[in-house]
Amino acid sequence: MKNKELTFSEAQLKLEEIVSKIESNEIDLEALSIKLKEAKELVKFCEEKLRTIEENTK
Amino acid sequence: MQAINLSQLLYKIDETLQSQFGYQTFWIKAEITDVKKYESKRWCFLKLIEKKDTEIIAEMKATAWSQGYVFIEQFERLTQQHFANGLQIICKVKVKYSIKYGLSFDVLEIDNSFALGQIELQKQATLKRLVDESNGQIIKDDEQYFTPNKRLKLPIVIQKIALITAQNSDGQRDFKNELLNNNYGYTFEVDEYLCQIQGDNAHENIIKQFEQIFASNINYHCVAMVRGGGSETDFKPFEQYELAKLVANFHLPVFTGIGHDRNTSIVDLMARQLKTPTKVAAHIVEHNFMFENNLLYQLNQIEQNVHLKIERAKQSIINLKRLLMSFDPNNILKKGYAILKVNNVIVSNPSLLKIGVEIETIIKDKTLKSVIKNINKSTNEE
Repeated sequence: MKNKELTFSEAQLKLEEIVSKIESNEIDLEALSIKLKEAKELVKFCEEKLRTIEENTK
Repeated sequence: MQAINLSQLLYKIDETLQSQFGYQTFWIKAEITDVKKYESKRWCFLKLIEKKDTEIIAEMKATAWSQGYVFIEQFERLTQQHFANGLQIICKVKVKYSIKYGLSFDVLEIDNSFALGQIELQKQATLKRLVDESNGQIIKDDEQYFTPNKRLKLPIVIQKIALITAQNSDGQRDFKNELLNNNYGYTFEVDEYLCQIQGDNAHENIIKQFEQIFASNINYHCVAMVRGGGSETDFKPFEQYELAKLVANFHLPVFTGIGHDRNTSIVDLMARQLKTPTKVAAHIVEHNFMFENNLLYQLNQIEQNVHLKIERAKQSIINLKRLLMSFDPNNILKKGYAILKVNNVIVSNPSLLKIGVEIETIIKDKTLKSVIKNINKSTNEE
């Protein structure tokens, strides 16, 4: 996943999609761990983006 | 031929005049000219004249000694104008004759209400002319005058100023001091157009400065015309038609601070009047501060919005993170749940489980292998 090319909003949207799919049982248990890994990366990416934005706006 | 001395004849004239006029006094109406004031002695020498059209038809020397001088001082205080050539006055005089100095009048009193009335009449006539001859550009409404100059929009920030003032005057110093040492540290460029601002021909000097500003083609943001520290009485230049007309139509906004609080001159009425040089400078600084203040407000609003957005985004990520944690199988196993696998495939369809099949049970930290011996229907299955 090339998160560096994503914007915060795009990453957030992807995360929401993953959560929504998991919640609606669209993802079976096998695929879940892969999606969770992806989601964790997206969370990390979003947190870093937010930190950078916050620093830049101080 | 028998001759008498000059003085003998003159004494006879003196006697005749004395018998005719004695200590009588007369109220007369006349124009004054050749005015010479001796302020330290409180004397004033002048001529009283009467004109028919432009021709002088009567003329008499006159002197206001200290008794009459009191009224001259009062005139100047009331009118804020010099007691100067060209004024129409009504004064009480006494005929005086001296064999050495000839015939003259002693001015004993001046009717200042008449003088004030004359000045006001003149002022109203000038204002009416300004309105009448402006092709509708100068409008009078409820004692306010709306001129093209007053209608000019001020730039958002004023930085480049043309200053009309007298060299080394208090007005020049007060204006620059207030402007250049302002509390906000704003910088200004001030070009000075220096000239005599008092005296009979001052309005011509001032007009020349306006013409120079126009001819300079420099993009000034405004003109400040300031005067201070001079005579309290010399406002006549600011009552002149030509100067007032020029100011009313000048292409740059004009601020006046000509240093008098009691009266408003005609030029003041045509421009943005701020009374004193210090007030003009303070107004310009305040104008710029309004701009900065507005900018700071906008910036603050943006910062608040950004902060709010970041906080919302943070909260959203925290919420998503919590949900993800709750979905994580490792966290589910910690709660006592297990995962069943047959042939290394997670069993999500229980109907695939049959007696004798080997299953793998994954619980927290352990994997158990077993064979199905019995299958019972779950008691809590609905």
